[in-house]
Amino acid sequence: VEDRLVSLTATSFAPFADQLVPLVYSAGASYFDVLFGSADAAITELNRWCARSNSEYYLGRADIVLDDDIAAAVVIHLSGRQTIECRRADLLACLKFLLSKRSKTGAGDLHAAPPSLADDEHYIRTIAVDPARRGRGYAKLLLARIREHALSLGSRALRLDVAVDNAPGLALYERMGFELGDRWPCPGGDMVAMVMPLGGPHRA
Amino acid sequence: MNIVSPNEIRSFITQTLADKLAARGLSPESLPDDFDLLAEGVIDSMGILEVVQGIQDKFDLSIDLECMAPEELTLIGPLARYVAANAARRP
Repeated sequence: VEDRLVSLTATSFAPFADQLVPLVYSAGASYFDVLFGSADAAITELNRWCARSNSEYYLGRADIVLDDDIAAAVVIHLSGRQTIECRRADLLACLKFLLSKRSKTGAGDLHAAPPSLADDEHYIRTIAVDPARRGRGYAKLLLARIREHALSLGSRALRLDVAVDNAPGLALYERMGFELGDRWPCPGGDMVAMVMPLGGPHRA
Repeated sequence: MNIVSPNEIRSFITQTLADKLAARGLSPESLPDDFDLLAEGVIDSMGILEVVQGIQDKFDLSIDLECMAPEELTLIGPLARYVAANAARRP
């Protein structure tokens, strides 16, 4: 199946955006709904973010798996340094959106931010598989690709954040060699960081 | 003459985030000008919204974000100076 792996670029991602944005949304729906107020608003905003090169969600740096020419799975990943730079830009976009749409937030207490990233941690922003095409090893395939990529960059570890109530995700990542890290409260549900040290035994 | 000074804004931000800073063993006075509220895990998207809305409400002003660079949103010194320079009295 490896020949179905495609690395998207700034000039090649656009034709896949209509398929990929809903997948990206589905991977964080409860968070996006709280943040943007509704699923429709979230999809509209994500369409912009996924096309913006200084967004964490930029599809121009995604890897996908094609299944009968359909984008069946996607992973968006960035270096630790890129993640922080993009997160600032997303935060500003988010703030402008929220200030324009709402007179007063109902968010209540301040929420904690995710644990910070080191420059040599490689961050997996989003990994998502089309529900109709699960169980075909696509997530594992994409993770193996990212692991190689991160090693080639000299990264020390892979890091991803997952909702604590996402039992299948937690189980998959633990099987892949990720270890549980810090937990923090987040709109839409608590999150936990997972880290896979690189250079050690690969259990996948 | 600014409506508010950068120092007033900075003080308000550190008061708003006092619990978060204390939880990380940080005191407001010890923060360098380029202390990054995002990278240091003090704030997220909802948190920055609370801070900016809090500033607008506390000082009764509106902040024009159009010219803001992303770094000016999360570094405490640049944020305080941007707000002071780009705030207008609410109509």
